[in-house]
Amino acid sequence: MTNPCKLLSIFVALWCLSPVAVLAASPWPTVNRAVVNEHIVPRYQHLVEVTAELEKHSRKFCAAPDENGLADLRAEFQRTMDAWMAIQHVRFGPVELYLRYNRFQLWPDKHNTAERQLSKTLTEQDVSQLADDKFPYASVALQGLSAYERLLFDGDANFNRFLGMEQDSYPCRLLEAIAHNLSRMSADVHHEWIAGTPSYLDIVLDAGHGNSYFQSSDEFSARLLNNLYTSLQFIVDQKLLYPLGASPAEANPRRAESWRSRRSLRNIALNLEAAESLYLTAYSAPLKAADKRNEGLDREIKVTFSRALDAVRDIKLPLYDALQTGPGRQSVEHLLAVTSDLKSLLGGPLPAALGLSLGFNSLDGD
Amino acid sequence: MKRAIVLIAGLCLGGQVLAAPTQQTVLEHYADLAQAMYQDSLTTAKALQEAVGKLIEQPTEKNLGAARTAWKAARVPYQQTEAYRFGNAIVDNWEGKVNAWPLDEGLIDYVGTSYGSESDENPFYSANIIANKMVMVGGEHIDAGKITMDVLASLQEAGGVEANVAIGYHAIEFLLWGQDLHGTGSGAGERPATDFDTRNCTHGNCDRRAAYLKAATDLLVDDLGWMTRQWGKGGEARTTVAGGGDRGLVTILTGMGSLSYGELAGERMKLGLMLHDPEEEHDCFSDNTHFSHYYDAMGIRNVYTGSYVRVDGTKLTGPSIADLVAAKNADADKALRKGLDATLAKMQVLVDSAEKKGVHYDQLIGEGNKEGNAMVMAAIDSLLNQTKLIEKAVTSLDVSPIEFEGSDSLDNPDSISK
Repeated sequence: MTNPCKLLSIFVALWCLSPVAVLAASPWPTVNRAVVNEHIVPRYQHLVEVTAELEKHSRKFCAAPDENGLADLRAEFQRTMDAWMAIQHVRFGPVELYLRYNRFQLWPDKHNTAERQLSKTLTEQDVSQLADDKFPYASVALQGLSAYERLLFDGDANFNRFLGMEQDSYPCRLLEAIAHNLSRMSADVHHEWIAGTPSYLDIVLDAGHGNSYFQSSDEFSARLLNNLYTSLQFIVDQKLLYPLGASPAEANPRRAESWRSRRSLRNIALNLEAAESLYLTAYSAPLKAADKRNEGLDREIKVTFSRALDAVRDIKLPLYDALQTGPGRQSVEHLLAVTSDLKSLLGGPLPAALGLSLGFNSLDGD
Repeated sequence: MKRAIVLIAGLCLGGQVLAAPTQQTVLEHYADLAQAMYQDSLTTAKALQEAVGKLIEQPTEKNLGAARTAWKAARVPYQQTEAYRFGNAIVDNWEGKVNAWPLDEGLIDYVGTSYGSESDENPFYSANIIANKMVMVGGEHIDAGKITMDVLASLQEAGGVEANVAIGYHAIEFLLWGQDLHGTGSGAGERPATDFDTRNCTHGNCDRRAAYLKAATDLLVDDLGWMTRQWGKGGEARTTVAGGGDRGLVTILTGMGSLSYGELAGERMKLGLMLHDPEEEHDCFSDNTHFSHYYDAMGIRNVYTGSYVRVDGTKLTGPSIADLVAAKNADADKALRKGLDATLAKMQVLVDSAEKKGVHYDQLIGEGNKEGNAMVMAAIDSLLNQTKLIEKAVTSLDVSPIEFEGSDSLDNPDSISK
């Protein structure tokens, strides 16, 4: 039985950076500017737009909560999730400040905290907790996309907690508070990237001189590379292996991300597209420029991205259902194998060939 | 929890190393310190075993207090060993037996109503081994008619759920203190000594509760004895690291960095702070979390500087990885030493809050406690800063890159086999 991770664990590569192998001129200052302007900022810009819509639609729905309104709001939620999944891989910068990354989305929730805290909140109905100056300090399990999804979907398609509720019911006010929170955080993150004093972009561009954030341009590129690798690790370990289990009977589909809204695989597809875009914008050209012999590795990474995207698009059932049938599991295991290959390429040969160090990993720990 | 590491390591030790110890002596001393720390963990666990024996013989409040004190003393050397966990596969694969956390304590004994009776994640959520001689969930039967070390070991991670922690320090902690029902308010668990008194039994099944406590403590002593031997002459842990050549240095730095970052700063501190959830406190029954974190930070510093103060006061020092870093890059060494000291100072603030002001860790992470939250956040930030400095030390040694894997795939290789 093949275990790709096991294979990776025995992969120990030795490499030496002799002065001759160092790149003639560092590509990173130019690359960093392009990555911020072409990859990161537009994705946050899009998040700003959709979360503003989500907030607007949440208010509209809560003014008269009916079936049509709910369908409309669920569609807005899906658009918001699409936008978040396209930038979920970036874990540092303004999104890291004030615990924003986890306030956007708490997942996985291995200790079932959201369930406990949400049911307590809905029972207590403390409106003061939802105030603008208080809600951002509440438990992150209540503040973000996962809580919003729990309110809007219950896993059972016919469930509608809002039906028959009066205007301004507590669950609806919580919905509005979350949407407002998401919209405000998105606007702040976007603003801080481009317009703060100094903006995070300024800090990144200045990295070549060394500042309190980065000692060199390489350091930003390396952190982003760490995030690229982590996004694949997140897909393999948590989005796929965690719910998969050893057999259909041992599968735990409720451990899948966004299982309530049945969009687990769509999340993965969007993550992969984002990771591919980051690779192409940031690392493909420097890789080939560093050494002509790297062209093979570049090609292999590109092909593996395509295979992974094909694998996820080929699964027609929601992950929740696919995990529970033989053929469904086969297709999920295929996706797992390809994304594991991709993870290995991004975590081993790529950093070595680029001369960048991945550093420690935020997903370590229990 | 089982865990494996992926080390993609390279060492280019072509340069001159001036006035620095050899890599081999550094690795030997690293193993010596481990042996001393585990030996101290074993000695203090035996003291706990003795105190537990007395408690069971004479279940008085005084003897319960003495057992609790012995538990806290046993944590002091053990927490310092945690700097060995990540990086040394033999430790990481074993540590779940002694320090698994967090736990669904309803598996073990009675709990309050606020605990709830079931969980989507865990069918054994309220199995209550002490009250039930036969545990049946789904198709699984576990015979706990007689509570022995073997039975407890077989209940560990029952049903493949990590929260089913039947053994180790935290299971013993739960038996000595009971649930902390004060939420993020003041106070720890308040189990009465009569919970172990067969003549005047409170909460039922005192004989089984006493048997459970004894078996769990005996098992802890056995497990720590095993690990101590692994670091002795010819032991597997020692020979692996000391014979690992260049990779031995990566092991040391991986242990320091992964404990600092993903584990302590992340899972044990930031998550609880973000959730304002007292159940996310590492030592949630005893309210001893401040010391657990403090001694983790101290263990990281010990490993770096090659020094350790034993429980009997003896100070061990010797060739360290700090010397190797300093020889290559004096600034990186200085910055890292400063960073490690700074973290310990931030942890001291948490200790002082608990020990001097009576405001414990679970209160500090409570919602609305801005000052407390900030104190915990300062310690987390210091750990993050320390992680970056460790990465710089890695670069200084030309050990590059480090990649560390902590994942379900490696925890449970069978989970992806077809």
